[in-house]
Amino acid sequence: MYNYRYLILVLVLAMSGCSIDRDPLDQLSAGQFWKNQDDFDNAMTAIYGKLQTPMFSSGTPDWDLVTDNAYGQHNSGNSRDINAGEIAPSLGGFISDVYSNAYSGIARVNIFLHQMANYSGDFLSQETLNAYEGQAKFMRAYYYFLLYACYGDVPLVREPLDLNNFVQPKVDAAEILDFVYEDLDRAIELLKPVVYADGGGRVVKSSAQALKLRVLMYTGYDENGAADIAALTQARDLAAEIMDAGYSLSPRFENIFRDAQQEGNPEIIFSVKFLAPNNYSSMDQWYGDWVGVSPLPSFVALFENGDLRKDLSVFQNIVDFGTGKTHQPSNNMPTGYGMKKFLTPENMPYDYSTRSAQDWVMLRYAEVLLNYAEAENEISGPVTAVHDAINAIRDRADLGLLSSSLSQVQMRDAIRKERRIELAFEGIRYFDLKRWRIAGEVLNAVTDGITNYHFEDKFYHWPIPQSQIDISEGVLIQNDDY
Amino acid sequence: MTTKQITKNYKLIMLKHKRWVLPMGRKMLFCGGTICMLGAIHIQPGHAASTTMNDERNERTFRFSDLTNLQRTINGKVVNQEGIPLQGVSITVLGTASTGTISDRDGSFSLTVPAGATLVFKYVGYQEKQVSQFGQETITVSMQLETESLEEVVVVGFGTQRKANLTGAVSSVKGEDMTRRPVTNAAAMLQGQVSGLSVVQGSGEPGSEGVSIRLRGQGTFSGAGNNPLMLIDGVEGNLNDLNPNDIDNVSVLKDAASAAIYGSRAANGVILVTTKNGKAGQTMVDYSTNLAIHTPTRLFDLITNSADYMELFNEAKVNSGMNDPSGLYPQTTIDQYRNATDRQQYPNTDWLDIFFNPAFVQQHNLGVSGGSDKTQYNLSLGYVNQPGVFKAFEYERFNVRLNLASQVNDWLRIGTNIHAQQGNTQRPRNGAEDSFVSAMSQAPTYAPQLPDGRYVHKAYDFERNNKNMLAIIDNESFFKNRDYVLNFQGYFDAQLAPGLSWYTKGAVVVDLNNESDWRPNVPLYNFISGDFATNLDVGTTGLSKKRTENRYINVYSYLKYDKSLHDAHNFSAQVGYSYEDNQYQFLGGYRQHYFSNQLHELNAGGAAVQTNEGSGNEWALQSIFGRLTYNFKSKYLFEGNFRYDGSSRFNPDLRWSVFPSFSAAWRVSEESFIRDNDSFRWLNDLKIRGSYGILGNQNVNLNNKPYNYQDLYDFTGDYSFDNQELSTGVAQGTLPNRNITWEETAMYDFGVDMRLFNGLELTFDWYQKDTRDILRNIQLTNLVGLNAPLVNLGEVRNTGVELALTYRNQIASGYFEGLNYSIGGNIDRFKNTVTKFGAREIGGWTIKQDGQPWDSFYLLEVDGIFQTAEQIAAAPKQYNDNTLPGDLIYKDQNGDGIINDNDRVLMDGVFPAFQYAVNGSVSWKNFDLSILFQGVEGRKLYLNNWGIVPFVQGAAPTTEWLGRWTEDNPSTTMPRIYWGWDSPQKFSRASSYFLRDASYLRLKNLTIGYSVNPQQLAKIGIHKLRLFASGDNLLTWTNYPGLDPERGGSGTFITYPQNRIYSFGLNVQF
Repeated sequence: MYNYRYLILVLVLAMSGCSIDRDPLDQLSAGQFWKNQDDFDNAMTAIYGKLQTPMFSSGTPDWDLVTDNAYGQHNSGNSRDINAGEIAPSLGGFISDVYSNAYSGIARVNIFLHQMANYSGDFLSQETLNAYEGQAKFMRAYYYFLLYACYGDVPLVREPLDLNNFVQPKVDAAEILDFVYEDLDRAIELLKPVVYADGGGRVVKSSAQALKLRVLMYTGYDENGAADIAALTQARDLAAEIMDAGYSLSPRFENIFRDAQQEGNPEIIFSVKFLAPNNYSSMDQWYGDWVGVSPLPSFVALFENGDLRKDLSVFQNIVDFGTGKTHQPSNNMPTGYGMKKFLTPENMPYDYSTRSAQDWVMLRYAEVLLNYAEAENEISGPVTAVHDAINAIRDRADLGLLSSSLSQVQMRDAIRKERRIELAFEGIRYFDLKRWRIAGEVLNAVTDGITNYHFEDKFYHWPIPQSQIDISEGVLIQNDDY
Repeated sequence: MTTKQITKNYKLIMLKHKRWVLPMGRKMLFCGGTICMLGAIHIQPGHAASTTMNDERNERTFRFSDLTNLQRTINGKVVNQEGIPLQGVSITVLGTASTGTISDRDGSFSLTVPAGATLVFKYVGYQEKQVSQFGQETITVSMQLETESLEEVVVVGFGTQRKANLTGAVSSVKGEDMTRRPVTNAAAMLQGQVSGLSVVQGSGEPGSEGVSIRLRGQGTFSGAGNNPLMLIDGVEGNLNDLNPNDIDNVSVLKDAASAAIYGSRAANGVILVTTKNGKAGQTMVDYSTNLAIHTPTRLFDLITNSADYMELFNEAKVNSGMNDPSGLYPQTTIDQYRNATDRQQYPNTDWLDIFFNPAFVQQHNLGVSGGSDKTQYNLSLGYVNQPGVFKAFEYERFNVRLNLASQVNDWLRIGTNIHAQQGNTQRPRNGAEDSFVSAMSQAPTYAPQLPDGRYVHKAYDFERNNKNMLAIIDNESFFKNRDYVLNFQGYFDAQLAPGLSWYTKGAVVVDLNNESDWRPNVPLYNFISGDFATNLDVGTTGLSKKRTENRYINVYSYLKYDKSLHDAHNFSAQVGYSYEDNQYQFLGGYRQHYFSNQLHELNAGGAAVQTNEGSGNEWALQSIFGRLTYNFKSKYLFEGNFRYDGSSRFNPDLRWSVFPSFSAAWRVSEESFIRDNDSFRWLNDLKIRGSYGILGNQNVNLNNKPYNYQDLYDFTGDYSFDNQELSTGVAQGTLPNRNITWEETAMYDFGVDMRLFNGLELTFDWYQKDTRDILRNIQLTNLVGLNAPLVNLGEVRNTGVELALTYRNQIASGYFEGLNYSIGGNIDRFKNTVTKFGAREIGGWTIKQDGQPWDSFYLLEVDGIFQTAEQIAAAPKQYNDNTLPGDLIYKDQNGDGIINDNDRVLMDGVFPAFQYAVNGSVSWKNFDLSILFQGVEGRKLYLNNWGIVPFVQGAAPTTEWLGRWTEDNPSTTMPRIYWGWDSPQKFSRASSYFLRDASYLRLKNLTIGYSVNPQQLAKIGIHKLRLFASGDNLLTWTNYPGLDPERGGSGTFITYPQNRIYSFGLNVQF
């Protein structure tokens, strides 16, 4: 009949005009990437960007919540459970987040290194390739060291994984440690021998050295807390090398942590950078207004009279830099104190609108000096070099010189106390308690911690997160004691 | 009526027995005996000016002219199906305004009408009936109760079917049954109407009721979701974007057989909404209005006496180990409040009372419908203004709809459905839950404002609180959205040959949102000193604006052929094509610094901190579908459906999939051994049916990234190396899975439909629904370091039964003679089992595990409250807790003598045991009444934070905490009180203490109406006038604490309340 022709016409039009091929509008397909140096540079930028994960930068002070330094009213990282001795495979918080965040950072490096290995173009110079490799391996070593220090035995992943091989068994902690050194040594070999301030904001040779020094110090004591002189000797020598690299203490303690004074600061060996308003953290709000870290009264009492760092590290009831502006935190102050060290006076009042741009200082010269002093004191006793290193730090805090008659043990105590104060809230204390093997002794003695503390030796190594055990079908074995 | 001239040529085709029909016409021209009828117009062949025959093609052409209609007087009687006369039946002539009458006591009437007129009989509670006269001067009209007649036509996918011929499980609801409820959300109106359809209204928040609709359990646990596919006049849409008054009927396609024609999107069932079309005849103007008072259904009682609050505060804090006196209220302060007479200085502020107030809600609808034989229209306008029971919540909606259909010629009908909706939503910017939370997270020791109007932070520094909501509201820190939904549909329906029709529809649906989020800078002051305390916490200050646009295009076209052989073998075949294309885009901007709180535009803000954002995505779907049906004398019925779908969301090699279904039914009652057997006279109808089919789900990660199968790199954010410029980071975010493909749901359904005793209808269904290849993020180890891709892995089974009953009757004699009533109910239950998940996953209070319902509760069981130290010493050690008398006793489930995470056990209640509804209606003389009860049994909710844990953010505890455990009051139900989030773990662990029974039965709706006698109205030109009063959520029976048990899932106890509604309205028709 006559009207069929319309039907045919419409059907033909409909069938021919309609394709269902669609692609994403705001993502790149892998086939289009890794085609020029910009792509590699962008991928390297993402490797640095990973460090802006709060756990690796602005949230690092939360690590002090699981020590005798501070209480966390918001239970960040499940700190209250960890302190109470509830560390268990399914706890979550730090127990699961360190694992997932570290491997996430490692994956980014592995993918980059994998693409570098497969690179066959002519747009990257050998110098560029070396710089890429050095930076990437520094990052990977940083993540593996964290895994090593928290869990001990973990899987060792060197290459990108996919759906066919994503279950991996764990390897011995010693193998992880070797791998950390392997990456760091390669990074030290490849990276530029300039101070960080001259390194264009990137990892330099001394950054890798300072990280290696931290690792060596971590391995410098045995299971009973006795010094391992071989390791400490290696540490001392490396520290000495860094001390010749051109760094010095920042004349003013606070300048290390204030955005305006960080660029070119002679003390900073590596930092995670932020640039407001578009690339920022919430440090001022989190610590200055929400009081995420509440220093314990017993910690505040440690400061000697006249220690400049007391008022620069801790506030009582109200944040006051003496600039005429103050900030009254909107959250509770369960201990009466708040952490002031990383707050920016200019950003007051602290609230949701505050865009914090202070860089997170991951490695700094004071730690190198303290490491040097600690190692040398264990090796040689309280020799002059030990006094010099620690007195440099005390001097900046406007404190007097240590008595020259200190015994080795007294010096050890002095260094440890100095270290606890100088590096407070920098995420160092928890690992110091572990490497010195004094966590049980110290933590079980805390009496002003709001919640009860309970530490057992098995907590020196955390359990591997239960979810990871559950999905590995027997390949990944839980750590002993859990 | 004037004489109608019809001078057109009509070509007729002869069926057997000399019945003639128009080949293309939808309005049939039947010729039987001496009269032909064209639509509503009767034509006597004598008026045909000429006829020509073409015997070869069985065609005959009539030429009509000059039809003069004779006036004639019709005498008749109206009776009901039992032969009882009906009084007060309105009788009008179709298409006329003036002619009409009402039947008298004996049901008799007399009316003078033009020859060929069609009489329309209307009576409350009865089906409207149209009668054409075929020469008789005296007629008896039997009216049928408004029952779901078997001749009723039910809307199914791409067409309609006689209910008697249905082989699948389809339920339908009439629009008028839905709009009885005085709520404004169409989806909520489906509650209790359909067995197997679970409708949970999340809250009573205006314009954002969070209505969750689940058909037959929870099929999948993936992001593909469990929402049924909702089609408005055949095109995907949202029930929220509709004026409920425009709904003619809703069909719910429950089993695979009826839904499979929608293939890849029908896994969760299909809901078909048909909007009202005009009817040929007199123009009807219909106005209805509904004025309502909303109040919260339930609100808990908080301690509002400051002194009581302070004492409990101190007790809780000390119990929680925070006994530093500087964090406690001094006794002198407590005494001051206790003894004060100046309540301005020492207030007992009832914070909830400030923010919760009755709201006045109005709805208006105006409709104009009618049309000629050729063109019918229905134009409607709707307006809703709904302030919330919480200050500053507001919703306003305008709807315009025009449904227009026209018979262009004898074979082509075209039409358009145009709908525009404009909604305005306003709420405090942090949303409903946060507003409620903030309102209650305050101490009664201070007021929201100082006497001079400045806003208060708090009275004492150690107090803990949340935002000052009054400051938020007065300073208009609101989220506002102006949204538009535009739905344009055009269609044609062509009669190509006898039995062969071709239907095509094209639609464009545009959804635009215009969002604004304003966060002003508002200083807050100390209540006592009046000193500046802090700035109001509204998040990052400034103004964000966002525009989103979603554009959806759907074109579908199908051919349908019906053939009947020897009046016994009835075939129909249908095949079609559909194309869908969706594009979404958004654009947003933000500025932080504003110098004035008055100006709410981006350009009024400082340029120092400003950002923008924007992105988009698109998807497309292409399908071929078809249906074959066959029945033998409507006794043995068979149906097959298929859909072949291709989706842009999958890799081209795996893109296409077939979704078939088969169903069959046997109408036992049509068998002669039943039909002709007097002992089965009580059995009016009995049908047994069964179906099987496979459905699909393609909503792969619909949110923003529909391209999981591709290997993609994301922009991961910036980094600055030099502290001056930002560099862009790019990295792989998600591991790809090239093999991702459809989720499939296979469903068996067996059902029985019965009608007994001329009034009792019963429908029973059993189903088993297996969803497999569920798209889930693979349980990737963290080692991969990337987000897990979706893989087709999980399996879930839902097995359930549904029963629906209705009984209708009329009282034939006695005082209540003429009283019609009906009572109905439905009940359904299902069992949900995850049959394949992978490694178990334990969440905060749930576990996902093979063999259990999805996300089952997994908790420590609380076994009372420790009363003595001896009891504690004798009990298993509770974690590393410092357990004290008054603490919860956790049960040692594994008997190892120590309580730890291994003592968590599965607990039921994540899905209800069953849900049910009972409804009734009565009409008698001018009165009508309807009632709806609705209930859910065996549902539990895990509740946390504010309202169940005392002093979270300083929130006043509920008054039940006055009965807490203390040494003087050794309670066995209320434990020792602890302080908010600083409560020790021994109280805050996920335990059955926080699992509460949310079963309820409620009087959902009660409506009483009065219709003014039509005879009286006729004098003033009014057709119909009905006044009604309606109440919603009037009574609730539940054990649930404090708030409304009808809510979304577990989690924060606080939800925006449901509304109890008292409304009055009228409906007038001209």
